[in-house]
Amino acid sequence: MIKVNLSEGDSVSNQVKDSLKIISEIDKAFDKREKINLDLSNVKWVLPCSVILISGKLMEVLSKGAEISYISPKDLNVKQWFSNIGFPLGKKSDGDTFISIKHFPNNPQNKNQVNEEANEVLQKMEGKIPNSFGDSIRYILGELVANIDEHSSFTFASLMAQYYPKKEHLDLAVLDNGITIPFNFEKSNINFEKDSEAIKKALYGEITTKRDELMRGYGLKSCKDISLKEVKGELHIVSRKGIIILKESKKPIFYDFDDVSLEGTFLYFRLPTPKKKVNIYPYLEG
Amino acid sequence: MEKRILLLERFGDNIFTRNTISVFFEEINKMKEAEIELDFSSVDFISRSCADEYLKRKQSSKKKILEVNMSKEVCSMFNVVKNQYKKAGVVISFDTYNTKNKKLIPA
Repeated sequence: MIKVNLSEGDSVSNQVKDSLKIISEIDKAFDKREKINLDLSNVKWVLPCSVILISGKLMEVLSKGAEISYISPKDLNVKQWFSNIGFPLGKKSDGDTFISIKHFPNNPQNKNQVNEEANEVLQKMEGKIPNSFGDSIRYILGELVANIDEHSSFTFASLMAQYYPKKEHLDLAVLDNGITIPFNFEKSNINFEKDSEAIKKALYGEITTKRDELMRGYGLKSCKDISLKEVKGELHIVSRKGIIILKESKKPIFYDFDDVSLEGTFLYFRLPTPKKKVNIYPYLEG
Repeated sequence: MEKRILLLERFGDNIFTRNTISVFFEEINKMKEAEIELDFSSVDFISRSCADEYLKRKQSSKKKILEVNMSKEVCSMFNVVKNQYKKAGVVISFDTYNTKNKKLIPA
């Protein structure tokens, strides 16, 4: 039985760490070909970051033949929210303030697939978030799914968004189980010491894996600039053992996990509602 | 002979991935028509990477490609990419049209 314990409160970092530990337990159970039993009974507060990380892993092992069962949360609000967002398998319908979990397996036959999936999510978001976000969400989501499409060779990707009207912020989560940023760099013979350093290089546009091509490698950097400088939000990136946490006007945090890792890449944006309409274009000239 | 393609039907409201553009241009290049008019009506957004791919593919295509009904936002993104090339010393010829009267809008 895998006990799901998630930190209470709004700290994304804490819930990301907790979720990676749970993912590691799921992997261990799957490697031993054991049935995966998740005990969610003690969960009192869940952020979309945990939902996407855990459900993304469950979808992946399920597609490889795992057997999964879980005990529902005792807390009725959490139980209801899990049902509303379609935990863990995803759901077609959405709520007034959230886009349900969306998992999609890679379909190499359809070159438009990622474009179609992102369009569907954006259509669903219309009317759920304030207009003052302008084109920022469209841009960020677009660049993230474009990265998944071009670089990750994913077999599963997951998306989710939740707007919190009282707290006035939007949480946006994008996960893929493909080639990680550090591995992509290794493939391209780009040197780095720690996985978090590879993420840092990708994020600050110091280097791109497609060095010979002009205009590539702006994606992550421009997403960072828009979310931090213009929207004054925060950004968390996990890829393999590396994690980066960036918050407006705070020193960036970069480190490698000792005991856990993510076979894939996870990006999580927390974006406060902008007071005036966001203009993304000054951040794109690079 | 001219062919008109409505991009909304092909891509949806937003165009995000390079793959969609490269596959699309491969199809365009195989068409028998020499002139292709691409109608951007109701396309709200094109990502920077797609705009980049579009310009590169258009540059190398032998077809005469004309863009019509482009929104301000889509236009802005093409101009962002064009300016980035300009800064890097690469000249990309791409004229944005006001589509109703097909007049060039200076970049």
